Amino acid sequence: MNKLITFTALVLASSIAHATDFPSKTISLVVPFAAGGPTDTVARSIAVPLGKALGQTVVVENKTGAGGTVAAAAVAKSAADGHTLLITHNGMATAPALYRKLAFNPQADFEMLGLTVNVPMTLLAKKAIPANTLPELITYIKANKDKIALGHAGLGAVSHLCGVMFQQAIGVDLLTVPFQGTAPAMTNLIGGQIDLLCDQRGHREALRRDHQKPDRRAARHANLVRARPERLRHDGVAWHLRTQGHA
Amino acid sequence: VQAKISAAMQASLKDPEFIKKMKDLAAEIEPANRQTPEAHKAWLASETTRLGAVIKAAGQYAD
Repeated sequence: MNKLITFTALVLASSIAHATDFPSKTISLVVPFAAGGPTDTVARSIAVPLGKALGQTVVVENKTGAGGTVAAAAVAKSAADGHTLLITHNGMATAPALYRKLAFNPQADFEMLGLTVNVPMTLLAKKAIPANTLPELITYIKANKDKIALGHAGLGAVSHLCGVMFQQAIGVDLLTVPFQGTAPAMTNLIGGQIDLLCDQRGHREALRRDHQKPDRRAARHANLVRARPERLRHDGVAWHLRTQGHA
Repeated sequence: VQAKISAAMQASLKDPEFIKKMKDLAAEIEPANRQTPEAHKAWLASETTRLGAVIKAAGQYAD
């Protein structure tokens, strides 16, 4: 099996650091996105073992805004003593193309620390769309391209990038609707206000868990999820879309 | 300092509690050869080129 796309390889970066007495105080781990999202979850999960390994407390700070660039700019300008770290994702690679005026240089203003985890992406369609496989979904989208709204979790979010890549892959230009994060985008997908959403698979897993709860809302989630388990894949040359079988 | 934090980060990725939480998120831990500062730097450079082209083709700006 080809490797799943590394859309959300979460990365740790810090300002250039050359202190001799490191760490001398609490370390701040800055998350450029809202609490409760995938990046935040990774940050909070790694903060404890990271603090243990460094012998200092690691405090997670959420600093949202402008697709993660507000946080990155703040960390780039912080004291270069290694006490301010940034955990982010592919947004660091798309920011120079998305923002004509960027207050930092992703490649020059940080010392890279390493890639942490990779969160695969899933494409979800609202329940009312009469397609059960990816080819059916693509046919439907092409036939109804003027009526379909693709939601995403905000400009600069991986969800946004995924949506852009999906449209390029199948050759359509859909109406796109930005939300302030994955949670409101998902709510609007379930409510039917938007038709499509591409986001981290973790959310799909969460929806599957919700299905275990015997309430009607959860059943709607489950239908949505079970019917559309396709994933986006990338083999380095062209985009491939493949049905992964039902969850 | 960079080496020290990176080593701590790589150790954290082996923490059983961390691994369990990532499994719940359906996230995959990056292989060891991608957890280094060098690999991270190379990854950012290649992703900037690859994804920058995607964004430019879409003709989208956030500002």
